Amino acid sequence: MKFLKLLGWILLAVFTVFSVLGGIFLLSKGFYELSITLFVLIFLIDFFIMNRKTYPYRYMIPALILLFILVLYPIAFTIRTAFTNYGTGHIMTRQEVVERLLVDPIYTYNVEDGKTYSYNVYVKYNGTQPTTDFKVIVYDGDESYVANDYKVLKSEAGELILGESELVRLNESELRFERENDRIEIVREGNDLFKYFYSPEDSSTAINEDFFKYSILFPTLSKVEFVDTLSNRYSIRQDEEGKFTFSQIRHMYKLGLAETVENGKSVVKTVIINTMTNKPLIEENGTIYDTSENGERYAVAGYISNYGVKNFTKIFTDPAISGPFTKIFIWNFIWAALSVLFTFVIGMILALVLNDPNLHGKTIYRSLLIIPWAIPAFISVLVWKNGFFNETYGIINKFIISQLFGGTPVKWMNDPFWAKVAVLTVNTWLGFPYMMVVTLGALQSIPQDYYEAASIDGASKWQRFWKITFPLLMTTVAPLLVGSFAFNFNNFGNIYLLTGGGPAMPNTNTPAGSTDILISYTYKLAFEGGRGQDFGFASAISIIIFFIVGGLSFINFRLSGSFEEVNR
Amino acid sequence: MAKKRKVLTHIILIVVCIVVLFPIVWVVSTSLRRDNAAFSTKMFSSRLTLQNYRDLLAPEQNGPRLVSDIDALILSAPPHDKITTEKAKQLLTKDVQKFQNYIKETESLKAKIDENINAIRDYFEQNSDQLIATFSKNLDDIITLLNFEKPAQYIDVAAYDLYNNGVDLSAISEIDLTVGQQKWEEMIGGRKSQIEILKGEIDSVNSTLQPLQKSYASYQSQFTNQIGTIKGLLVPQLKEYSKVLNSLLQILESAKNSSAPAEFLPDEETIKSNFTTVLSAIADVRVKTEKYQDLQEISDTVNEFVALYNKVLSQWKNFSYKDRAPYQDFLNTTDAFTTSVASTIKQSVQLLNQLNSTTEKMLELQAQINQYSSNLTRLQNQLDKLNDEVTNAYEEISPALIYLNSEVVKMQLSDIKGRVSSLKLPTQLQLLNIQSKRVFGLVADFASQLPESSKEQKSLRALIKNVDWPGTAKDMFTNYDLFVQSYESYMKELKMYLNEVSMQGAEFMSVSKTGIKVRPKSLEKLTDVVLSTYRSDVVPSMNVMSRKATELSDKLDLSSATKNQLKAIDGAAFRIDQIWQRKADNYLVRWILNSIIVAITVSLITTAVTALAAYPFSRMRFKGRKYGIMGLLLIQMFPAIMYMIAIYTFLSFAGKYIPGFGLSKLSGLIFAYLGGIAYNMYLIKGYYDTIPDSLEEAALIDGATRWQTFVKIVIPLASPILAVIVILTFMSTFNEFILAKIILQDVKQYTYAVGLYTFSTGPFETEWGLFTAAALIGMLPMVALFLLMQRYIVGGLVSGAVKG
Repeated sequence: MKFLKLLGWILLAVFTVFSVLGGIFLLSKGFYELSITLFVLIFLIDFFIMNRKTYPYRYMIPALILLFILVLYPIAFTIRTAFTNYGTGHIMTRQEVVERLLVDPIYTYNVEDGKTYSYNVYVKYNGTQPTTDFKVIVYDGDESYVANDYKVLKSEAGELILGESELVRLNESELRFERENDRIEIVREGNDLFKYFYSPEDSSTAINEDFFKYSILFPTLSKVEFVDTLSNRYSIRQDEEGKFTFSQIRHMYKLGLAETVENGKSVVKTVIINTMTNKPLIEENGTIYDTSENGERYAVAGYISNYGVKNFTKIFTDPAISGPFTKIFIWNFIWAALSVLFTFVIGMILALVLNDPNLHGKTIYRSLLIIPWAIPAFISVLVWKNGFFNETYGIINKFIISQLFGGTPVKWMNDPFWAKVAVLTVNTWLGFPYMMVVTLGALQSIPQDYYEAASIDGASKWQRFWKITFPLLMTTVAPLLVGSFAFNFNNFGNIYLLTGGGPAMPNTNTPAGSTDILISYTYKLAFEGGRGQDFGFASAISIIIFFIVGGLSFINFRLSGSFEEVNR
Repeated sequence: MAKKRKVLTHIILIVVCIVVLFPIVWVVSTSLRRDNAAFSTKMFSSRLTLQNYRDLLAPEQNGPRLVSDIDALILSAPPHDKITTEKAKQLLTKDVQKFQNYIKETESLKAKIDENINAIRDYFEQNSDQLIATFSKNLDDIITLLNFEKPAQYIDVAAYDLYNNGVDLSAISEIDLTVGQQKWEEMIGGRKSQIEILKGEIDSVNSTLQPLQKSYASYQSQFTNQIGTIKGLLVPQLKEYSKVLNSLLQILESAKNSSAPAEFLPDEETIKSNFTTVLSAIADVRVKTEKYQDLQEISDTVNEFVALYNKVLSQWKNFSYKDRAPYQDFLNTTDAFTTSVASTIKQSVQLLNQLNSTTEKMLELQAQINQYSSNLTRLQNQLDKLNDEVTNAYEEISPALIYLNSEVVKMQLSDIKGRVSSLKLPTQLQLLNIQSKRVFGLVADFASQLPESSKEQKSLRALIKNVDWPGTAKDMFTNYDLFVQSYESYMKELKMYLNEVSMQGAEFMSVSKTGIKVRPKSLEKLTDVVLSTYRSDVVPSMNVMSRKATELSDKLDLSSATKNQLKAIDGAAFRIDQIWQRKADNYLVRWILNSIIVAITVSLITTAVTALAAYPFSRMRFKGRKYGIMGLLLIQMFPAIMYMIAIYTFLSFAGKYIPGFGLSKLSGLIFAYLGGIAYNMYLIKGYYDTIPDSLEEAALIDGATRWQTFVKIVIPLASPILAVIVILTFMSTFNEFILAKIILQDVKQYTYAVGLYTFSTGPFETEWGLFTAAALIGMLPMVALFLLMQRYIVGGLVSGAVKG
């Protein structure tokens, strides 16, 4: 028993240590919210386990872990993102962007009048198959150099980003070379043997070019810089003719110090300097600009930066956004309200019919009518979309409208009004069984004596419905209607699968469509990059949605007394 | 009364059920269709097959797939790049064997088609008379329908009208063409000739009118030009001249104050008289321009000018300082000015005169045009009236026309009947077909004369469909012959190249192993034959043949044996197509497996976690108990899609460091699904509350720990609700689409939901058979589960709201 307890403590210690290390690692990678979440979580777990008074919470630890990582962290992340410009062009943190500018081979240029060497590539074979183990020998006139194995200067998740390799004179190298016809055919390193494989000038090796390009050059060699004894840097780059040449390069950007004036004081700051023009880069609103020779500014890269409440204010101030946003907002309410109305009215009528105790085959009708609810919604919606509302092949256009009524085909997907009719039709079809079942349940709880008393008093059927059935029904069903409203308010799947939010609204620079509701609009902003992703704006809208739906649900819990019920 | 209402209720409910369940009926029927439903003109089809399900669940390695497998074997390409040459050789032999089996199967199917086609030929031969009799009977049906009542009047008129159009009426006895002609002339003929005359007159009027209108238009444009010229010339110049006149006035004014004497005065009177003459010329211009509305601007300017001019003149007349130097300047200037103005005015007058003559010509033309066009309108009205009268006349005689036409058609049909009766099938099928086409043409023409969508028209159009089977049969036989031709050459090539591939394949295999990949020519050819020759040569004729066979069995009233033979042709052709048709790969089975793996893992984990976490809420007192679960439920109202930005970035980051985890991995998706626990906690806690405390208390007194009572007492008692929650979570996870769509990118990792979505977009959009079959495969178990769990699903949703 004691042993088990000891084991438990050790496990906890190991868990804590690893989690803390993980948290620190995340912190170093810029995942601030996640690492904070993790630290809070570790603290809570350790606290719950070590403290006798917090015994009940120990049962909740697994749930807490899931809750923190999958619910609380995303919410925190979303809230922070809502105040940034995170999105296309602003994906990385400043630190990452700066590093990229300094390191990435994209930001290098060939030195004018720089040296160019010819090079041969040697590859180790595994049987008849070439491997990605290679050596490079370069020739500068009579002088030949061999490139040492590269050192990794920078890598991310095991992927090479920048490597460096020294060029050594052949006679100073520890490798052995076997020549044939003046050409080195084989390079030996210990027991390993590298065979002559590829040279851009030797057309007899052209057969190996693809392997060289896709297995050696692009994944590795293009990211390696070679340094000669004079500290000149070389790399293999594609020239204007598309050939891969071994040429002298220089990095376009380097870090330097510059004096700037801030708040009336002159400050010496580290800035990025363009090595071609010797001008420092300028940063504004999360974008880094370079200055060209004729003084024009152009954007080089962007990083995530604070954006203040702009994401919220632009809903009202930017006409290209506020117009479609208002339309979407209004339609969102109409959509939810009409969905509830249609499903409830149809469901209630059917329930009233089926509630007749003398009706035969009640259960059969009920089971048949419940089927639209039983089918997974996404399958039904896809069936409706593909088989029924397709403008060319769909059976509504082809058979029902054209053949039965002789009308012209309806543009279900391209006319804003008819697209709305389509989504509402499908949603009503999907939703009325729920309302029917719910109403049936509620009707059965209405005592029969009320009706008996009413009929003795001579009330008509109509009066009995409006004076007894409906009010009593509403007391039980009203919270469900509010719940249904909240559900439909965020009913992303139906809209997205049926129309994709379309048809697109004119005159806007965001991906807004006529049947879009807030949530589908948000989704398109965030994940459908047709016009660039805008996580910041999407997060801002989702916070607004949260307040609407959360408010509705809160009222609903109050209405239905769920709080009291939990507090037994 | 009450009973009636009950029946009505049932009828309404049944209709509602049919409407509501129609999409499902459609899904089921479409998934079983053999043809391509998206392009079909029928909503339902009787040609059924389970092929769609077979393609989805257990796709056959048919011809094209075998070829690509052989290709991979010989070139040692994936998925066969890792096996030894020996193994590859074995597989090649197997593939070739399978291929040969397919060839055998195809040949036997072909033999079946041959046999059945011949049987049908025989049937046609043996039942030739009967078929012809059926044909004749169908013609008789039409003829009976063509018995229109003879109208009381206008028969003769109509007869003459038809006669006039070249219809042969000699066989119809009871008509008198001479009477008809008289009446016809009266009702129609006279008017028709009048119409012709009128048309001639209208044409002649038009031919006069048109040149007039043309020349009017040219004068019109001339007029516009001239007006423009005049305006452009006169207005600016007059404005300039006004300035000069103003200066003249000033000069005169200055003369009053000047003391310098004049030296030599020019001839004052001449200048003055010139000046006055110009004024009268200007007045002339004024008169001429005032006529034209368009020159209003000019006449205004001229008026101003003249006023100024008069002012100068009056000042001049009363001028008394003529001895001073400025006066001399005045005279000189005036002289020059007058000459200049005079020439301008002269030009203008010329222009105005031209304009005048243009206008006169235009007026003249206008008068002529008006005359002619009123003439034209009159003629046109007359023509319209006559046309109306003729139309009315035709309407009046139309019953008679229809009657006569029906008689004529009847006669022609009887004639056809006679011609057909001696035909021998199947050799003279083509002749029968020609006659059936004739019948079709005659009757369709006649039907189009009947009032639109009248009963007769509809039934005639329905009846002629009964006589077009000879065409269908002929098409079937012809396409069969074409099919046989293309089939033979296809099979010959197939066998030849297969043979070569099976012989050479092994040698090329060892070459490929060394890394030198050469595809043998025979293999190239084989691929070509299977993939393109089949499609371009065999498929068209075969498909038409099999379609016509089905149509024929629908159209002709045949014995069930013959119907079965026709069906057998269709079936065999369909099977041949299944063997040799190139089919896209699909991964439905894999998707379903993925979905099941994800859903089971998620449901087990979340149920375990929530069962554990709900316990203290039911049994213990601690801070946060009151609002804990409700708070969770509220937090989960945060739109789940928005978690995805965070989870997406997290997964893509974690995927780089943790192998087997991250984006596009099922494990990543499972992880993302684990967040939805609040609602289950709420349900489980509610169930725990119903388990009496006393059981646990007794155990606690006996020395059990809380943990022990939880595991040994509460969990077993709560196992029903836990099972329910496992199933409900399974269902909701299986049905989830969006998160899976965002996280999974590799088609083989898709879950069922994402996979089905791909069936509804892109190239699969019209593959309704596959789509509906795949939908049904996913739908059925879920519906079954739902109906099974109905009590809990409904109870869970309604609990708290509906409490008896």
